[in-house]
Amino acid sequence: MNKFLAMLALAILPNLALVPLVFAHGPTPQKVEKSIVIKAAPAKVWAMVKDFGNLHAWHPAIASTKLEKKGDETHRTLTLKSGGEIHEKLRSADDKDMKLKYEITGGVAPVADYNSVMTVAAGPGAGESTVTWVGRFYRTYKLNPPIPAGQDDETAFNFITGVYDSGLANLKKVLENSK
Amino acid sequence: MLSMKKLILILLFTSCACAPTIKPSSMAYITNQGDNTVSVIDIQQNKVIDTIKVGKAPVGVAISSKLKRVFISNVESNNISVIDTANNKVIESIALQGSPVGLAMAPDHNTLYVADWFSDRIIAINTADYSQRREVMVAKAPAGLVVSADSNTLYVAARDSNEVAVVDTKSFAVIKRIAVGAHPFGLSLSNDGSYLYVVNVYDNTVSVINTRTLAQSKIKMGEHPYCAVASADNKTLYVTNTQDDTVSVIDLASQQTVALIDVGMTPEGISYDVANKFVLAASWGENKVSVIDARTNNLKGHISTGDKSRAFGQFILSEQ
Repeated sequence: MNKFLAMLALAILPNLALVPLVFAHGPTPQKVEKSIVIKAAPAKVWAMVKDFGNLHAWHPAIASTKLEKKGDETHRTLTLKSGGEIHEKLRSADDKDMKLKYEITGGVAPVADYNSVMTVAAGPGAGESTVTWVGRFYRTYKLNPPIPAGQDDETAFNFITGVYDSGLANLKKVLENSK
Repeated sequence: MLSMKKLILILLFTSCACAPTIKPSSMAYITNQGDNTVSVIDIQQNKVIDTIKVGKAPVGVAISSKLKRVFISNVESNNISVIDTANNKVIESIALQGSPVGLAMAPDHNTLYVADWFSDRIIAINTADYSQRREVMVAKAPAGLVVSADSNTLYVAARDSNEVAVVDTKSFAVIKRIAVGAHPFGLSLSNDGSYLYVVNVYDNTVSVINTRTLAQSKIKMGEHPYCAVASADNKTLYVTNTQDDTVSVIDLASQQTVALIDVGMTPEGISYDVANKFVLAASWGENKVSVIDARTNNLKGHISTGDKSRAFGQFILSEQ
């Protein structure tokens, strides 16, 4: 986990000077898709996944989560353990399909136009759940190549991969250890 | 006991009855961003019959049935792969100083138009001699391209300028700018050229523009719509909603949504297969193509392709 936090800090550092998320982006979207099997009932897993104001309860990189209502919209501000904030907006939380959709609206994540879906499905075994986390996003650099370090596809991809890998591993740990 | 003659007759009859009816063939050329390939789908056979290695991060497709060529824009390797449809092999690579995304073939087959994303320009390439090129600066982040049936007018969706630039292809100059919604990406034109459909990604709308009067109305779409295609009879518009994983089916006379079809995750490029009356949508999120029967607006099924299918542009080759 410490290794991940160090990597997270490294990924974010070169971007601290950047204005939060710009609208324009590169021409090639990136994708990270990760899944994990958790020995816990789908309803229990979904209850934790859909709890938009409590990401710090299971994500090891998050120090605190602040939930805010803006009219009809639900937003959260994530404060990272490595410093800095990420601002996110809830798109939908569908209990029937156990599907959560959200987007990043600003902050230090080195990505642009990020949107994501987390789903919980029953199986593969009895009493087990599979959590899948998929993100689509672009690098932050929006002008002609050459692309500066820290604003390229690789930085964006590695950052999100780190967020998903460490998050899912700890989500499993938290759920399997709680009775 | 059956005589040999009778047996042969029976066999002949049975085999004839089982033989598929011959239909004109339609091929779909699907760009796969993640593995740098193009999947060739035989639409009648409902499967991929060839996988072609192209340049890096392919996105756009333009087809000339007359020239038997498919052009693929490779945005990360700054070139265009030219595929011979007779054998589905890359026969040439056109190098560009730029990052090609959108492509369109003029209906007269004489010119390939290339949108250069980072340099805000359109490059026109002579299909008889790829070294003969013209350029015009349009507006910020040119994306979708479409050419009028008479080949005289090119429409360019300029994503970061929130407008459509209208280019006269003879003078190769911008003659009009049409303000649309936020972040226009995909374009489609009715067969008679009288209506232009512009997908406004950030507004979740499609602008319907009368190309003569420039009168404009907007139709509500799903989340982050991306690309659109009109049916051959100009009655229906199909639009991919990338973040709802659906295709909106719009009745153009009433401008109402008549169906919303669940397709593969993150649908991007969409084309209409005239021969079969199918609509194909490339699923970037699930590495497949969703096939919709346009007569019933039902999802027919999916065909697995390559990694991160995009297929931006008119990607179906129909035998004329």
